[in-house]
Amino acid sequence: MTPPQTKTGAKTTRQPEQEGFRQAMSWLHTWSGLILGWLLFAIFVTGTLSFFKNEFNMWMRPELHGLPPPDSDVAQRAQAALHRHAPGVSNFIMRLPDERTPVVNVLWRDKPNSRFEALLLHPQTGATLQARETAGGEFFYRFHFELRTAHKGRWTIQGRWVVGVATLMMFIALLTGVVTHRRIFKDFFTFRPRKGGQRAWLDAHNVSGVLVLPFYLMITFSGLMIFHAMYMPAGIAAVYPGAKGTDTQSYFSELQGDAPGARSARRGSNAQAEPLPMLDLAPMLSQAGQLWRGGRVGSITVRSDSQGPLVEITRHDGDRLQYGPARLRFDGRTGQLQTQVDPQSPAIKTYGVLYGLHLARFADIGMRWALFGFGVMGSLMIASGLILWSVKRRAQALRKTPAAPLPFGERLVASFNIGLMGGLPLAIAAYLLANRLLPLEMPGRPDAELSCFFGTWALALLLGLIRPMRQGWALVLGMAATAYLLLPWVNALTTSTHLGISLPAKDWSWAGMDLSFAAMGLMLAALTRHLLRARPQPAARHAGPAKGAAAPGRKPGTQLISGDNAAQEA
Amino acid sequence: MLLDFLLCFAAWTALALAMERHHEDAWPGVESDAPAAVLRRQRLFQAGWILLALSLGIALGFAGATTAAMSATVWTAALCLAALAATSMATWQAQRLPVLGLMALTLGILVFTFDCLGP
Repeated sequence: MTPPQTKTGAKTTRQPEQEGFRQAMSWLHTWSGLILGWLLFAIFVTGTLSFFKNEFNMWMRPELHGLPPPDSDVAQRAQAALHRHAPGVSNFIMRLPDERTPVVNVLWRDKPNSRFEALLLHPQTGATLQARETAGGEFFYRFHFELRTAHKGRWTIQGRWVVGVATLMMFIALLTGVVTHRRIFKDFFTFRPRKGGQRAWLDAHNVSGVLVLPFYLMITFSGLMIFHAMYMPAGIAAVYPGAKGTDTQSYFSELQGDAPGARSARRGSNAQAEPLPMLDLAPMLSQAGQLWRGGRVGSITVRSDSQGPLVEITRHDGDRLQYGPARLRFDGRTGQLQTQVDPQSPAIKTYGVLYGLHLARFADIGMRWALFGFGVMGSLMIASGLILWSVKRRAQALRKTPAAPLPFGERLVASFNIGLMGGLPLAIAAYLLANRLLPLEMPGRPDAELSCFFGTWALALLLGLIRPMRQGWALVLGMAATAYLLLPWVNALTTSTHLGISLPAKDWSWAGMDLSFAAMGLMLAALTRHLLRARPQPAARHAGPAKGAAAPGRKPGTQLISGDNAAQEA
Repeated sequence: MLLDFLLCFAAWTALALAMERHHEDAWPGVESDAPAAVLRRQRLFQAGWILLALSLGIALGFAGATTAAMSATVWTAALCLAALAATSMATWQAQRLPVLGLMALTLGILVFTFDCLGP
């Protein structure tokens, strides 16, 4: 934004070198955006949903509906229940209930280095709760940073690398975008949807890009920082030499404010761990409450090692901006406080704040929705950029030759736009529907849900490849609209967590989900209606009446006519 | 959050109205480069930046129960939300933009005095 001036003084001569720089940046912005745009869109959408990970985790386990708030000795009772359930337990992590997740979440194991088993406990009685097998909101979360495709996880490291490369590209696209779209600060508030075509898409891309720019820069940069140890291991290797290559454990200990080697020193031999005795957790919890001046306890980790049981009390991660939370380490037998673990160095604190901003555990409900909205804006920014790529090329081609055929590359981009971007909301709805409709006792149920997600996404891509035009968009978005509008009804028919129960009870974390699905369905339906409304276009006039009248799902009787494609009209 | 949003929204509307295009949209009869309009746009421009600085100052200076870092985070979120709101209003309610900005400013001052007087 420049201050208002009278027109005489405003004109400046343009520098030729600047133009060259801008063109170079424009090239980089366009192609880095195109190549990784669809992946970035998926990362952005699933990341946005991850702000409500806990709510998805609950909604997808309707058996956990209607739990009472926890009472004060929930930890002790849950510990007793765990020992009844698994007498040989030697290591467990117990996440205490809070307002977002009103259930005790226990991960436990009885052999060192084996997989943790999950256990859900009642917040008052400590009784074991049975919930359906599902990946829940964790799937969006895991897909967001490691492109998880299976419940137990596979190709984790490879997935993280791919996401890392995409994130770096996003960062480049953001910085070059500020240079390329030179009018973004002059056109800061400018959005002209009525102008249609390329102008409207460029406005949409610019406005969605610039208004929420601080959020994009923060989320992209912090996203890169989180896996710094994977992308840039050389510094750690140089400073933390170990007996077997690099002593990464010590690095991470120090990063968490712990003494180097603290993680492995007490552990001793890994052969066999003693079963844990019942511990008196109450004095340790009350000491934690005093030290943190009323701060909440997030989780309790208990481990049996060479010197007996060790208890770690971790503060609730919603208590401050910086992640990870402070920890207190106690000797399990005596209840003696041994160490307070909390990083103090400015560099680690900076890193922790960036990490915390990315995860947004600190956010209350208002902030959470704001961040969700920013994530949606980011997804729209990526989507409008990809569509702009098509629209711009199409407009140029049609200006030269009025009935120019759609080249292969542009057809492919239009198909991917429909299948990968339009198909994603549909796939998410299919995943949620599968959670309600698949048989409860089905073996491998979480993976079956994921198959529904990826299968639907692939189907949408197929539709996009067959019909890379306006009808394709209408079809995919129409199906998505139907699916989202069905969700509250399917929920009502299969569970007792539906709006008829959650609304009168003012149970907003449950009702909010169903209402959001309905709102999403209505928005998609409006979009589909807009797409189906026939708009006479000079080049597409002979596309016939079928375009306006064809219902989604029915085969329209017209051929693919060059002008009638999403690229031109979208 | 509310106070930050109101002040930022008032600031963004002032900055929008300082621009030729939105000035003409809001007051269709007024030539935006007539001397009086140029002066008004300059004043709006200054007022917008002063309001933005003021809202940040209030957020950091009166953090209340939270830390300054949290307060700055909330302010940044409010800044973006207000920019989205101001742009929507400039797009679909262009002629009401001056009134909406003034209303936000008045409400913001009310909320601020209430906060200062309150416990």
